[in-house]
Amino acid sequence: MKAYSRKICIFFYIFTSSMISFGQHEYKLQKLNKIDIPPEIIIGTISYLDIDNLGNLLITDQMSKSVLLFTKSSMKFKNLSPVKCTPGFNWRPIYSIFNGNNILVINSLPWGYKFHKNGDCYKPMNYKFIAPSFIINASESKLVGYYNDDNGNILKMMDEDGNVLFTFGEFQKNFKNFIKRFSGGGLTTDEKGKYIFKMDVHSPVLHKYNLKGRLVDKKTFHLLNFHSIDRDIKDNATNPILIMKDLKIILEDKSTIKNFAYYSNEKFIIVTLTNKKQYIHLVNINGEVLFESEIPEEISYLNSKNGLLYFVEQPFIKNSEILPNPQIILYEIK
Amino acid sequence: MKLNNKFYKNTVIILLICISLIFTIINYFSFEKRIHGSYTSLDLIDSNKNKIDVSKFTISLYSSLDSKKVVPILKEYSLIILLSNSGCNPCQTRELALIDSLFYSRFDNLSIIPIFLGDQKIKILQLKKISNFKQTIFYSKNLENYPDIYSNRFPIIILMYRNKLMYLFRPIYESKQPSLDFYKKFVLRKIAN
Repeated sequence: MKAYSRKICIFFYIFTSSMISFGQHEYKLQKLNKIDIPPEIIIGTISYLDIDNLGNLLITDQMSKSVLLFTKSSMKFKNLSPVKCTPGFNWRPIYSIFNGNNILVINSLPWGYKFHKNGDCYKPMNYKFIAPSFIINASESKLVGYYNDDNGNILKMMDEDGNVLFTFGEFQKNFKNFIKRFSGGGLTTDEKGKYIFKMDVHSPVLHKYNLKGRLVDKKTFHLLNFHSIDRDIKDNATNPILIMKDLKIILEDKSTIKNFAYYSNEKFIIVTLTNKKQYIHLVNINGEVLFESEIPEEISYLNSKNGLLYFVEQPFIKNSEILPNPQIILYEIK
Repeated sequence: MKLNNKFYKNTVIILLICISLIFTIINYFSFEKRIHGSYTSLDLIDSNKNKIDVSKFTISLYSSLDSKKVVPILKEYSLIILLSNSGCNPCQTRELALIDSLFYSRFDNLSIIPIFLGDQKIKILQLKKISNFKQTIFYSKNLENYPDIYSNRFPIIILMYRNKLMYLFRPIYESKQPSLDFYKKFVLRKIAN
């Protein structure tokens, strides 16, 4: 009888452990391929990268004031310029996104310029439009902007010309100055543009809104080596020197959200920064962390689309002042 | 008597005009010769009774080529370009490109000294690449004690004459015309004389 019950126990142990290992999927960060920018195109750095559903790329380089459209099918680069349509436009691109049938370039005063999908110039944004920290295109030709301006931290639903339809969003008031002054966090949308997802720079809390601006879900993630900041920047701080000193104290051994992007199938990518070390986290809408890893120093995360991760790497030539163009490297989490 | 009175009045007027003209000319030349030395940016330069001596750099400089410590050679005229990561990058690249096109290897009496405040070597190489700047850029380390770096607007252009500060110029973000005017009307005119 004893031997029989032992056999049953062993059988159950093997069965349950095999079920556990079947349920758990081992995720790995896997390098796929890279995209070289030809040397005849001179760019300093990739400040921002957006990808459309076809895999076309929109590269913004703030330093050389250029926006490049890379068409995947023809493998060609096109330099975007507003000069033909709007001579004299003060061209200082900050970042750019694919916006339905257009390309929207967020610019530093005037705040925006529209291009056709093929990269031909179109027209400046409405004069009332102000550049947000992040902008996404949701469905029904709507734009959603994440603003940190004098009116506080707020999300704005806009029409395609940048006219504000309504404002919404829940922000932690006891970190309002930090959210306003420290870049990070993000705004993203799902494949169909039905929901808007927001994460602030100071905490790994995902806010899910519908297109009416109603908060429908909120999830907090427990991320590897993430230590939230304890306090905000002082309210009356205006002197940049004092703010920098205060920030140094606030951020000591603490973490921030560097990037937040949609990955695929209600999964998200969060990139965090702790003591100059970058970590990548794959999370899902249920609040589960599926994969976490430290990002190697030599690469930096740019964006994600359709289950692909886009990183940038800067090659170096030793003892030389010649800097080759940065390379875009594609990864996936399998 | 009436004629005499009129003559006297005219003479006084002419005399006054001449005196004011002489004063204007004297003023102009004294202004041109004056050394404007009230600025001590980031303590890079030792100040002594409003006269600035760049022979005493208070921070060490390194070469962006091989990261080795260097001491820049000062000539009769020196054009110092202060750059920073906190500065406006398109303005910095524009200024470097302008300086390169106007002054590079053209004047024996001029040394161009670009100094990047900070040790982000990649940023220096990016600036060099975008502006097509041919010379080596110097950089400094350990700038924690120089809080000016967060409040100053970069780039800052300084023209030195025999180690003394002559002009300090802050390019504006919107247009390159003031920069062109400064280099052509002030710097080129000075060093070409």
